[in-house]
Amino acid sequence: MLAFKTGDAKAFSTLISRHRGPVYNFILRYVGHRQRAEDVLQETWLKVVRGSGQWQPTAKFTTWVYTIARNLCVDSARKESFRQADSLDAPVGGDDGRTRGELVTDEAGQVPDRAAHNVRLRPLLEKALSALPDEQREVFLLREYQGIGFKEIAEVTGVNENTVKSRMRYALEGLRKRLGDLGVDGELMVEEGVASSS
Amino acid sequence: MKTAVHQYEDKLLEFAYGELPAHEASAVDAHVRGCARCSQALDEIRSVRSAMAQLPTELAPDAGLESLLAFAEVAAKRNAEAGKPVPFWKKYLTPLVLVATMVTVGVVATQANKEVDLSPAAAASDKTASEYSRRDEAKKEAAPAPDPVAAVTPTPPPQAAQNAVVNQKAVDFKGNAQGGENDDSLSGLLGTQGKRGNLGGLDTASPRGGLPVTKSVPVEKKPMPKPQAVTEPRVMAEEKESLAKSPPPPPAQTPGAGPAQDKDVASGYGLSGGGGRLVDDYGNSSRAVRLQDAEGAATPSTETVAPPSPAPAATTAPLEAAKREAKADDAPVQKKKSMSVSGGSMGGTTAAAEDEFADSLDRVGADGDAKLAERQRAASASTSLENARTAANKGDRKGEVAYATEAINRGATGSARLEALTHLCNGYEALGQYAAADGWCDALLREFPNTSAAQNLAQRRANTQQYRAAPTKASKSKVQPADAAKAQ
Repeated sequence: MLAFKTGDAKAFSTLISRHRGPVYNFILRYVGHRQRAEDVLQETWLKVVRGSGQWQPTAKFTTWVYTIARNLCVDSARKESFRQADSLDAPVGGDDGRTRGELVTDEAGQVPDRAAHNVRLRPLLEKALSALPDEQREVFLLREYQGIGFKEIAEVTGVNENTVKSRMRYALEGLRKRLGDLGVDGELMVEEGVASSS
Repeated sequence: MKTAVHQYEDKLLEFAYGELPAHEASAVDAHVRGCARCSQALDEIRSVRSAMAQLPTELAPDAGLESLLAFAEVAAKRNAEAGKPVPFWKKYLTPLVLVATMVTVGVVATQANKEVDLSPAAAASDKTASEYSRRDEAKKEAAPAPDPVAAVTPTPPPQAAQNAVVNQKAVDFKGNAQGGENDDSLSGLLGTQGKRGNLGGLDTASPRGGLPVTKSVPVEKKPMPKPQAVTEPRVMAEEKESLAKSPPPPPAQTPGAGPAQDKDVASGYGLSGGGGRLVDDYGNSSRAVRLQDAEGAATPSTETVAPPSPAPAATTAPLEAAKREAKADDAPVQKKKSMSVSGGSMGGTTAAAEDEFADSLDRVGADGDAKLAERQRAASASTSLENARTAANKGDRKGEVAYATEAINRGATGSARLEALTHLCNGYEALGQYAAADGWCDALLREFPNTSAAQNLAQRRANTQQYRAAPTKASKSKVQPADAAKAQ
């Protein structure tokens, strides 16, 4: 980022290639809508470019980027609360009756057996994740998928570290209960965990 | 997990995500192995994480990536430009240029304002006032000097001058009646000069002994300290300028020249008697007159005519007396009227010429173009000088003197003035009027001391003094009859 600030355009390409995917996944799982996630992603990086002149290396770049993305997600969620929008589990309208989340999974281009497994499991995971409150979901997403520590999450979300940990515990407990309600018992999770590890 | 109250329970989350330090992590790990509840809680965390880890990672779409990179490139250039330190001279160049521009504009505006202050009205009023003060001082300081023209004219009695205003109309009438009798070489010239007020006094101070026709006396009603007030400012301004250029009065005053004569002659010549001071201040005075002339086109203010004699000290008292008498006895006559009457008595074409001259001055000075008027005056002076040269070649000494005087009064300068002074000096000497000649000769010697004319004049004067001294010795010898007899 310092290189880009001093006028190195290639440095920004490096930043894009390194952080654009994770940021997009965070946004997509936060807002739950692909088109809105793309808009928020574009707006996030535009803000990064605009704010590059004033950026100071007082914190990690990831913290800054995810702070921007998280704020934009919050704004998008507020706007979406006033409109009717399709969710990942809403029917697309095709003959097969698959949901948007299933289409997203298919678009990822995975092997057939794994895709079939995802078709059965991942909608449940999406439901369990979307059922979390926003403050718990964002903490869980940042820690579980983005690998950001609790202290850094506290900076992104603007709360203290203990609050983040507490939200994380609640998020894990909520997911466990939600997954149990959805029929994703421990054996399935263990099997999935073994399968994924293998 | 919820119901368990354990000292390591809060550490299980960080232990599960690997954020505990190594020694704490080993301690927690040892505790978990020995604690079933903590081990179960840790298994639950790990099972949820394992389940949620099945969510696939989405690839970011490429839509908007190119535009984003282009925007980032532009921003990088902007950042690079913003990061460069601004040079010192660039940082302060613009303010310096602005300040320099403002200073330049201020200076130009100040100079323009100064030039505006030198407008004809302001400059004419100021310089005319200063000129008047100088003239007054010159009048007080100047010694009685003989008028060059005074020797030509007979000396009228002082009473004649004092009664000049009273007899103005009668004199004019007499001038008309006797105009044809002035058949000398100066008559025609005087007729034309009368309209200008330059040589009118010559005619009035004719050898016939007629009352002097003065233009200055009847038009003395004016607020200015000058003796005359006229309604034709341009003509008078020209007279004033010619006055400023007129030669200084001769230092010696002819004993027979009375005050009235001085006044009459001076009024005829339009000379104020500024003397050498006016000659020295020629540039300023002439400019002031020109400026006032330009101003006169818009405001027909009363204008002064130069005092009639170049010897102001000798003429001041009788002039003032005449002024007082004129104010008391008769209403002031306007300059134009008086000039036209007197001009008619001299030439017959004076009125037309005067009108033509006034019209020309109107055309010239209506917009304050003093330079054109100055050129016209210089041309007229050159013409007069050429006439004087012609008259000298013909042996017409009176004409030479008259034309030279006219050239002087018309403001001849430089070589023209030198030639005019030479003509006056030589002409009066040829006419035998040594007193008048001395005044002009002195002026010639004083103004142009290094010229050949001045050197010749000095040589001629030396010879003349020897010549004049010879009869004196002869007269002294006559006292001694014995010597005279011897001489015979």
